[in-house]
Amino acid sequence: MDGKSSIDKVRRSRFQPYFFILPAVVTVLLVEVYPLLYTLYLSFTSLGMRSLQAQFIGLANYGRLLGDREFWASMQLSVIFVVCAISLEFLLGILLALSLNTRLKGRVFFESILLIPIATAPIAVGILFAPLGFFDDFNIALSRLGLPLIDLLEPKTMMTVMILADAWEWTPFIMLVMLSALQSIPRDVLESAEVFGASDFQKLRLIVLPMLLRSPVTAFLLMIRIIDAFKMFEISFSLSSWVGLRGLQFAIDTVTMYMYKLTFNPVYGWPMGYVASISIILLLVSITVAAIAFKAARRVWWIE
Amino acid sequence: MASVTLKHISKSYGTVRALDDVSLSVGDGEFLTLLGPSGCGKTTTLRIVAGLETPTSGEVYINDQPVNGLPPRERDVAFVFQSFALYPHMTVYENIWFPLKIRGESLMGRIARTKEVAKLLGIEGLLKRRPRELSGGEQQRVALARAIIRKPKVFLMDEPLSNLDAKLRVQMRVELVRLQKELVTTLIYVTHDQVEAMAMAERIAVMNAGKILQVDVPQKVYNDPQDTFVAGFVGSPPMNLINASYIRREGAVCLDTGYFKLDISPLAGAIEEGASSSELILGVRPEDVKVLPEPPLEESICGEVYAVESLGSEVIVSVKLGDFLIKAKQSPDFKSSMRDRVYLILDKKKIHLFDRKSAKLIV
Amino acid sequence: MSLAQELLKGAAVRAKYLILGLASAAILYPVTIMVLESFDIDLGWIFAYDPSHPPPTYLNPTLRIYELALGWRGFPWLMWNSSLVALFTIAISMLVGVPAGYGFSRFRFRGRDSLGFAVFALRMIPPFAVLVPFYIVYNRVGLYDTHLGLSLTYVVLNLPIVVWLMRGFFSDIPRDLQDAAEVDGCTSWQLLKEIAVPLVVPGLVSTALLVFFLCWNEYLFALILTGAVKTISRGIWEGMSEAEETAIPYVADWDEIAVGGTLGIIPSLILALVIKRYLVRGLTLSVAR
Repeated sequence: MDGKSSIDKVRRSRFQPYFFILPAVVTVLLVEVYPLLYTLYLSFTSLGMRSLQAQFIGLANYGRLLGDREFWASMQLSVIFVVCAISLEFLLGILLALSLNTRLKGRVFFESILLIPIATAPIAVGILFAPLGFFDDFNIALSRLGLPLIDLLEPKTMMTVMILADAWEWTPFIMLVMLSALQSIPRDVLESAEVFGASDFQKLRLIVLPMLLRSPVTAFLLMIRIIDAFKMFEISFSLSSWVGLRGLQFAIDTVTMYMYKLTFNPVYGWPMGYVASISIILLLVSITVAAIAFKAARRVWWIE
Repeated sequence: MASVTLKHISKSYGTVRALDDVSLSVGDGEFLTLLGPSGCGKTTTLRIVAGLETPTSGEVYINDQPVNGLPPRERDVAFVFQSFALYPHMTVYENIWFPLKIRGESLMGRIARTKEVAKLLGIEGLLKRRPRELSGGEQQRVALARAIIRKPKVFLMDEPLSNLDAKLRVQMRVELVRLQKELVTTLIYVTHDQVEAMAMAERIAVMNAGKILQVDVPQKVYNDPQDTFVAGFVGSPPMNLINASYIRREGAVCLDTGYFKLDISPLAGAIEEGASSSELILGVRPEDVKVLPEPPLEESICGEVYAVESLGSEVIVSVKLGDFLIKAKQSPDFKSSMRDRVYLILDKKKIHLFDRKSAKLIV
Repeated sequence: MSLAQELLKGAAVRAKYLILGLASAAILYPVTIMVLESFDIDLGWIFAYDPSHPPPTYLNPTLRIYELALGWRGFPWLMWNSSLVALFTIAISMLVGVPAGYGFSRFRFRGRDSLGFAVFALRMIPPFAVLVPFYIVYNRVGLYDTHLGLSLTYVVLNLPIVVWLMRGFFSDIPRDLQDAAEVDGCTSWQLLKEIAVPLVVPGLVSTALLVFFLCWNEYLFALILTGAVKTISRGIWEGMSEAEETAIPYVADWDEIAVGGTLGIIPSLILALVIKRYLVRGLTLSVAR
């Protein structure tokens, strides 16, 4: 018989999947996990530009985090942003998907236009929305029409514009996904409903929307958008840094902006250790929430 | 060319038992069919022989060498799938010589062998085409060519004819048998079509619910079913099976079905020996039942015609006897209509008696 | 159908047109303003439209800034940088991610679910968490301000998507084909190379496109980890002409930015339109799987 025994072969084949995954795992370990571990280490130190020594200070950074009012305020703003932006995006996305889901003339035209935000760099999106308030010109036009002026330096306005900008950027993406989900609803379900006498609106309300909202696609989309919305940086950066005094003064601070300020604004003294601890906490919270969401989602959404 | 042996193979998927202690021996060069209904485990058995599944327990031997841990590619078997599994992105040429290419054979060698095999199966003209351009029958032949080209030890086929239309199926049946005889290679063939099994196999292994019920040459499976399941599965229309009780009274021995009685004194000894109780099942094939419009001189059973199916070459009459329905095959000139009163004669030499718990007793 | 239903049906279609029209307008409006601005048209005048005032001379569109932008170290050079980075990223992430996706799809092995979750969890890492270490390490290793360095960070950013998508695409291959290949004698790697990959080429393209767009549009890492090597996203913000390299982001004048934005959108948009089908597939599938 051939040299290798069958036991060897079984053993070899059991490790095979790991070989496929290996390059990916190694890459991630080297490029991402190593920096992460370094950050973890940093979070326990007092490294900053002022003290170029990384002195071990235990959990002091985390303690500082708990009492940091600025941080919690920024967290609150982030949450508001995420909730509002995502609600808006999903609402509009579904609405647009429903509208686009018919044999319309000019459908290709609309689809192409809707691709524009996806092709636009996020940093440019912030720019696109800046003129709305900054230019006194626009306000002049408004005043002539008798409408109240828009002042972008006002936090509430800024937040609204940020939300609108984010919606501008992501709604088409959501629409595309929802559209394909719509198109994958089996036609015979709808046809049998029609035979039973359901009107278009009833079909929408009782079949299409529930199927859409409960499909795992929507669940994943929601999760991915929430994660990304929390990480949103370019829009708030470009809007606020440009509107405010040119430099590092921002009109509104989400968590990402706060971290940016901490990292680059000399006022804070470049507390790298502290920034590291914030990052770690954010990461832990995200993972925990995601893990819980995964388990909870199994009930609400089909399978998953 | 090799023998295949399965010893006490069991396979479970979680709590579901797909195979339960299956043991089987296939001889060198034999054509054996695994026959059974959907879900009985025949495909699983085949896949285990191929190495596509691993058994939960038990051993597999090819040519008396244990192959349990070996992946499919080291077992030197060929597999033909019900769906043909042709590689859609390759031409027929590439599909057929793929097994050779993987093993590193030269291009010239591959082309030569492919042409050889294609000629054998009559598909030389298709070599440059792609699978999606071929008809079902043609795809089937390409799949066969791919299996043959390596000259494997064992052929494994999983319902290869199921996806063909009826006429083609009958045609291919003959061709497959011829092919196997020419190549003299062991073939294990899975099907749920008992006509196919009967027509093609040297031996049939009937399976149900993960167990092998009977392994025999087709004629014996037909004439001597060991089991009510086998009896009812093989043969078309299936064997009539009726519950009956064994009664011994005043020296006479008969079977009481509740509707009619049958005197079976000559079989008394065998019954008393083999039965576990007096509850039996009486089996008789439709062709062993004669239907007469007038009461004959011999012992007969009276019943009412329930349905008449005329198949051209024969007529199938369903006769209502009390609560049961008996089917009988008659010659084409049998004339009768619903609700006619008729008389049945059962050929006592051809009846089968089964213990209610499915053991078989006498012919 | 009754008259009421007929009317309603027409109304539904008209409503759809209305919605789509509004959406298109909402999308095009900011873009139009930016494009107009890039030609150095004074929008202020337009907004404060007053027929009594004669149009100022600077209403005429100019290509002044465009000339600047397309000159030395201008837009083409930025495109080159971004393209190079994108190319590296696509190459590495596909090389690494495709086998991983295949591994997840084909095999059932211990730790599959937890590894899968870990891959998914990579997306959750806040960029700031790794920014500073990256900066420090890159400087030490010499990857700072290089195309390759930036690519590496993008690779890790994209890996979850690539693995996720390819896993889905590979799962679509019928089991029979893979079984047949195994019986025919393929090792797993041969299977991947000869059978699996050729069958998912459309999926590969969609995935590669998604990666491309992410690289093209990313800003934060580009900002921190590069200086002279400027990508388009940085160029938009910092002006298309040669800008100073400072750690603190340099912000250009509004009209320069407008030009940057307009130019920046063009290649992406053209690419998106041309490969619309693949892109849409990739986007929807990145979620559907």
